[in-house]
Amino acid sequence: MTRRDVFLRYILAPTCCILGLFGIIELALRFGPINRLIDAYRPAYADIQDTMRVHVEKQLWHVETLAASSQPRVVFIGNSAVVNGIDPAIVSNALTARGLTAQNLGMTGLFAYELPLLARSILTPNTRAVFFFYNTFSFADDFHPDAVDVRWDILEALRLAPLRSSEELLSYLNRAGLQLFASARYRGMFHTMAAQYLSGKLRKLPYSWDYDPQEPPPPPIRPRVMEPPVAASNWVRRSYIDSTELETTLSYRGLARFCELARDNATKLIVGPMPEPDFAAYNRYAQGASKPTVDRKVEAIARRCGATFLPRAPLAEMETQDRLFRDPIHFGTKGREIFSNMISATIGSLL
Amino acid sequence: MIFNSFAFVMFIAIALPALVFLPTRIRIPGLIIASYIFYAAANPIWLIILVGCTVVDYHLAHWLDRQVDARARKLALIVSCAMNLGLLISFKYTAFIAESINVVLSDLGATSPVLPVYSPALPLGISFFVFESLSYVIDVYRRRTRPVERLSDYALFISFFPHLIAGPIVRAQDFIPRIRTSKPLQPKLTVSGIELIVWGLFKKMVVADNIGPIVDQLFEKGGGPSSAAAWSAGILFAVQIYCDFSGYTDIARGLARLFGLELCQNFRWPYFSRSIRDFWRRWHMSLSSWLRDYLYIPLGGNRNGRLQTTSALFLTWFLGGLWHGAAWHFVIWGLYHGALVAAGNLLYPRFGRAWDMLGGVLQAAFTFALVCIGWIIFRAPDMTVASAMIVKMLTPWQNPGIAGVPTVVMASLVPLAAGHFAAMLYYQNDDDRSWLWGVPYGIKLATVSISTVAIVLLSGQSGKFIYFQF
Repeated sequence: MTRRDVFLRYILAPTCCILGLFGIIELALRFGPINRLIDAYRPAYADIQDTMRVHVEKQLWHVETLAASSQPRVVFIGNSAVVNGIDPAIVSNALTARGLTAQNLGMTGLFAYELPLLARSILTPNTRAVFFFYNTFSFADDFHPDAVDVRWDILEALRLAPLRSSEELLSYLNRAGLQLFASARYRGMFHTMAAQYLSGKLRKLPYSWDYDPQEPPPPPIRPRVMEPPVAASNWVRRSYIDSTELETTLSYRGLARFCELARDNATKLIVGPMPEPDFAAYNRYAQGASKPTVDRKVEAIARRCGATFLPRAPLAEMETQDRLFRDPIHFGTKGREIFSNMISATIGSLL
Repeated sequence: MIFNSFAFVMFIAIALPALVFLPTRIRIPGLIIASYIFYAAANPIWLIILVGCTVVDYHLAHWLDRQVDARARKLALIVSCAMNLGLLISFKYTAFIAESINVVLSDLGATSPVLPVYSPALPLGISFFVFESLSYVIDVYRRRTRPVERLSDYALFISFFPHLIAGPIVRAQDFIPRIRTSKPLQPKLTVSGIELIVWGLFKKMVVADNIGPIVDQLFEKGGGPSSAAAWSAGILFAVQIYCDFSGYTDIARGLARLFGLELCQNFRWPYFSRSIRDFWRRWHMSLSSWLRDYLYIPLGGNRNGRLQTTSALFLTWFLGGLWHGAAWHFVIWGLYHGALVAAGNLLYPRFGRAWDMLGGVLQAAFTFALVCIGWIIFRAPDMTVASAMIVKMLTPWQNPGIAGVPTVVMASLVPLAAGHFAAMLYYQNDDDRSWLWGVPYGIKLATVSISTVAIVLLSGQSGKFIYFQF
């Protein structure tokens, strides 16, 4: 047997078979009924709290599933404050007359640089408008360590953060592999679901929020005492500090880029702050974050690219009401209801 | 670049077809360049160290070989050892030494750290290629091997990418003669190489990477609330580190076979060992034989009485532990194994008959238990946690029950262990045996394709190989 024969029989043929098998699996995962079935049974946050990666995977799966639907839509995107803060059913009621539906595309810890990376799932042909709600930590200058392997697009990433080292080249390439193969990208979620199935614990997602809507209401008043801050090197704290202190960051550039993409796609982009309770300013991560500074920078970006900017002023009253928030970032059930109604009341004039 | 990464798949997809069809005289430089690219991908600066080390040792060995004067020969040897060990110490042990001295001085009353602690990034694989360089120069000095004629052959011996980062620690006399005669893509070697690669990927990606997070949790909790949980931490880490490291070695050996080259065996069913001495004949064999040949025997070995044998043994294990990492728990782990080997040597003449009467299964179980205790020392974040876990393991009456034991994971070890045992019976010590070679082509194709896809689907969150840190 010649070297060429060995190469063809033992290297090339198995490689083609492997790629073919992956191709079949990828097609199956993108097949509507399978896709929706997995989406319906995606694990609840309460069941996977110690595996953030699985949470990130299942949220992106949901976003991609929604992207496949053909109904004209208005989408809300942001971090977990959006996941838990906007009820798409309430907002949809205000959009029915226009033949639109509201969808919540919130993803835990989403930084603004991720918007262009996920543009394919957000700016679909049937997306009429995108509401991006940010927090004072949304404009980090670094990739999100728990999400970067999942929420990734190599070309957009290269545009935002050109390679600086060979090590980065390797990590970009490895993420590109995950980007290519959904079977590898979502394997944490598949494993979790398989384990739940085998142990008889697989269940339909009981609610789309991270937290149980039946949980006791938040306390009416929170202490206003400075907590000892975490180290400045902590990536969460860093994201608050960088959003405020740096004039431009990876995420500010990401927002500007997404704005361009939305404009090219003829999709209306509306950018505004997500209500953050006043008591959050005493939080050990958020100390030093400045809402006016972040708002000013975002407004400037929105102006430059023709997006609509929503000022914070109408939210001020809400931000003082501790009872609406279950923690420094997330609305409780009542807060979500109030905020969703507030959006419903104004959305008509914004579209 | 790690073997289980997409970047490596792309690298090999380009390198393999580009290199295997070249004539030998071009293929060797091509392999060196590919290996250098592989290495520089982590950090291009480290390549300077690798190339510098290669060039200096190559020329030193030639100069040494030409000398007739014993003192000149020794001088060349000392220069080479000083350079190689100096590199290793400066990158790997400077911070450890400074920290240890600062601790001692602080115990003696110093109020602030006396020595600055500088810890540079450790070049990948430095512990491995430094040992390979040392063994080569020492062998030339001892006239056990001739200096390599061509610099390219020596450069390939040091840098050949499958073994560059985490071994096995190759000897020049085993590797270099094969370079010029190697023929890539020989049918049987290719099939057995692919079999090794698939096995290695399964061990690393499916077993080690899925067990890893559970092991991390158990060690974070100090082994859990019960003696059984602490034992499960030890056992799971034993499985994880074996599958991680032997998986790497399998992939490395499999890749080498595709190029027609052989790397030495590094593991021979170590968890079926019947004594600690036997364990070290089967675990990380390339390191233990290196320590034996270049440290233990030169220190006197077992030729000069019990005291010197024991001293040589402990010094070897002290340095063997330190080789694994610049931390005291690695040293203690090394000394623990040294103590077990020494105890075996001392006790066997008196209690050997009783030990033999235990039978193979009990001997293997007892040895495995001792190894697991050792792994606790190796893996625990510090000695306080390690000693608490070991106490818990050894006092089951004080920590009864199975609270904290990951029962599903432990149960899944049973079929894995059965499969491992069956594999041992099939492969035994026959390094050339290949199951895949003996089956029809269609089955070969289906097995490799389906196994590879299953491995990717079942893999855990990809982590670096444990031995990369050494």
